[in-house]
Amino acid sequence: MRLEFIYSSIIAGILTGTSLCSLSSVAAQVMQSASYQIQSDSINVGGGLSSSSNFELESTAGELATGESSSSNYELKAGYQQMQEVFLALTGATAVSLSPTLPGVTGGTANGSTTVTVITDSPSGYQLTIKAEGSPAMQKGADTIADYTPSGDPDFTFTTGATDSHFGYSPEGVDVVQRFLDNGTDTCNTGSAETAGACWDGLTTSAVAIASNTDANHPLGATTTVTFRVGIGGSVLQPPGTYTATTTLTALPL
Amino acid sequence: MRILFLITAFVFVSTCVPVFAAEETFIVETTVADADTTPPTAPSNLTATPISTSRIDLAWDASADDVSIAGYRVFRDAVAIATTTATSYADTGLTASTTYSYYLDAFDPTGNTSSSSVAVATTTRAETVTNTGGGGGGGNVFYLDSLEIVPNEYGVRIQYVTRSSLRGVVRWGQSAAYELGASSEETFSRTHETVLTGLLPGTRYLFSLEGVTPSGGGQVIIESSFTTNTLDDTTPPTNPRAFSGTASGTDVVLSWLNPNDSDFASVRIIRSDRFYPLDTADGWLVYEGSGTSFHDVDVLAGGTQYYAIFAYDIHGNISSGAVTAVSPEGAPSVSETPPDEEGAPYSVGPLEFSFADLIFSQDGERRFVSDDNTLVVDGGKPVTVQLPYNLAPEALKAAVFQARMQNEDGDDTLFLLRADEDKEFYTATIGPFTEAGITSAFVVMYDFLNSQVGYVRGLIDSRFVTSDGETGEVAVDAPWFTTIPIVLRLSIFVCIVVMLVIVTYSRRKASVVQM
Repeated sequence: MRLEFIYSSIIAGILTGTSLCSLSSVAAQVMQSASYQIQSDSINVGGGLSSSSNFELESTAGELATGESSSSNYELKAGYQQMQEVFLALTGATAVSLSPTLPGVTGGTANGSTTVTVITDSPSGYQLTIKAEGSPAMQKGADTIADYTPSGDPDFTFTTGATDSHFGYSPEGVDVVQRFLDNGTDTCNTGSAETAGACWDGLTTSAVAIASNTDANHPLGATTTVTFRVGIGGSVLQPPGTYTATTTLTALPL
Repeated sequence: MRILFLITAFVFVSTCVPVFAAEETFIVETTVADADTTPPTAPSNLTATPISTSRIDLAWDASADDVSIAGYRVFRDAVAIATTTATSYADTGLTASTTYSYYLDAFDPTGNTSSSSVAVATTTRAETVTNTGGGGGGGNVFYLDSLEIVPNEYGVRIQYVTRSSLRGVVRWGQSAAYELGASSEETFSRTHETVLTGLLPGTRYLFSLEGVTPSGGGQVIIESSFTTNTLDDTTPPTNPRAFSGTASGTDVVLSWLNPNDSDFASVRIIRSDRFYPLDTADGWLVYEGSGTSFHDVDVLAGGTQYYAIFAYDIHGNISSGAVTAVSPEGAPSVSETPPDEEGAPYSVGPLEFSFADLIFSQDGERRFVSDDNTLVVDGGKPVTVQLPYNLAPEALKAAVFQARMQNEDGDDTLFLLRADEDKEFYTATIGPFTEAGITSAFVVMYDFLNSQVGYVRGLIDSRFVTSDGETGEVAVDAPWFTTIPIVLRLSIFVCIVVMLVIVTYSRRKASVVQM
């Protein structure tokens, strides 16, 4: 009997937690037009419509706002039409060590990648941006490796000339922005193909959008893989050592 | 129980933290290895040849380096006057009858500099030259006021001014006999110009200038020489053949055959753990030299290793590359060899071309694929394979020409087809097949996920040149008498028939006499 009560409490807790998590996507409904979006509406049991020449207010009655609870790990706004905040999580980013070690004389290319997942219940979706802390991004004391500089749109192919020494990135994933999509052949920012290993750009200290979506993706989320590459041409004498680029990925709810 | 309820609810709620933005900061790092510190060897056999009153030509033997030679610095009288990647230099703008001293050194891409070569000295030609019969000075009619020799790859322009009005005659050859010809002017003048054409590039010629007076007297004014310019070679060398690797523990043993090109210099082997290196910067440089084998130590612990070998010629041209992949012992091979049996499909995958659309050539002459998808080649000569760029799949990462050639273990040899700068063709030049017979050949396509997109297959019938000059008509293992010219074979046949008739007639006559 006592065991059944414990199970009942756990199940009740799960249901309560789950319903709190999914409050925005179940209880609140979304209406939108080309210009505006209403994140939640209500079926009234009381109150009424008030209006003036400038405003229109629809008040409700019959439900209680139980208030806000928070700790260092969570924030809960329970109750009816508490101000709705979206849930957004960015996970998976790890340090990237490019491989192989590049010969200082003959040059070559070194590659590495990290994959992140963005989960959000924002009805308007999210945007993922990338930026570097320094300029150029890849540095070793006074020695640097230049940022990859495509001519306008990202380069379909990462091209390293004999005198080049540069560092670039290429995002891939289901939500990659148009700028990093391609025509499947040789041009980026055109077409809808997501050719693997294509469309290369250089990091800047300003955030650059690499992925976005206009819908909520909770609970599955969307993954984006960012591949980094350093290319050193055969005529470049790149000082030996370990170069680092402090990189930041930021996910914003829309 | 209320506590249990709250804890459970908390756990679930805490997994969905509401935020305005989420941010992850991480480090991307790359390592560049130490630079080369070994200097090249000093250039050797430096020679200085006076060409004219204002020009001296230098030539020397190439230096060696553990990486490569980036160039040479030329010093005249201890002052650096030029940098060149060639092994010759023409020093111009000099003063007549002046002695100059030269030496040079070599440097590699890192900037390591060799010791200086042995210095040589020579003197430019005298500004005026008289014939042996002349007394010199202004009174001699056979007197040169100036001489300029300007060679190019296939000819030379010889300009000279004589003190008197003469009719010039130039004789030239590769020996002092001037066996190649003579060019005679039709009019008398003090200024002369003779242009010789049809010469061989990079060849030394001797010549003489002869002056003829209006009265008919003539004498040799000068005898000298010039060397035509060498051609600017932009043709890549043939790929190394029989490039293969075997696993030995965690080591890889590579072997290959170097191309037979006369200007072959060395090979470079690049290694990658991702895919076949597509150029000389697409991975680790593990070997450079002119050997035919290499032991790559302790590399298979990281899984399958991909190798590409590129041939260099002395002019710096690079072959398209031959490739191989070596997997750890017991691991499945990554080399997906298309089926080679009779009846196998000639095309697999969404490809818009066939084997017959490939362009094959030998010695600059195109060889066509027959209706039965077979290409006949001269087994003693290199073969150039070209795939028109517009026929290749759009998302093509690499195209590999795969053929069973002379190879110790009988495996296929794989060659990269490299796109040219104008994006007209993917091209590879492969060495001679060296053995007669018919074998399958493939062009295999890989996409950017390193997966095979598809392939086309054809047959290559390797044959050899017969002694009557017909190419590709008789296999090397054909009966011995097929190598005898057909005229000689007919002559022998007629002789035998005549002898048989004579013998038969003689025996019959003898038997009639006995009766």
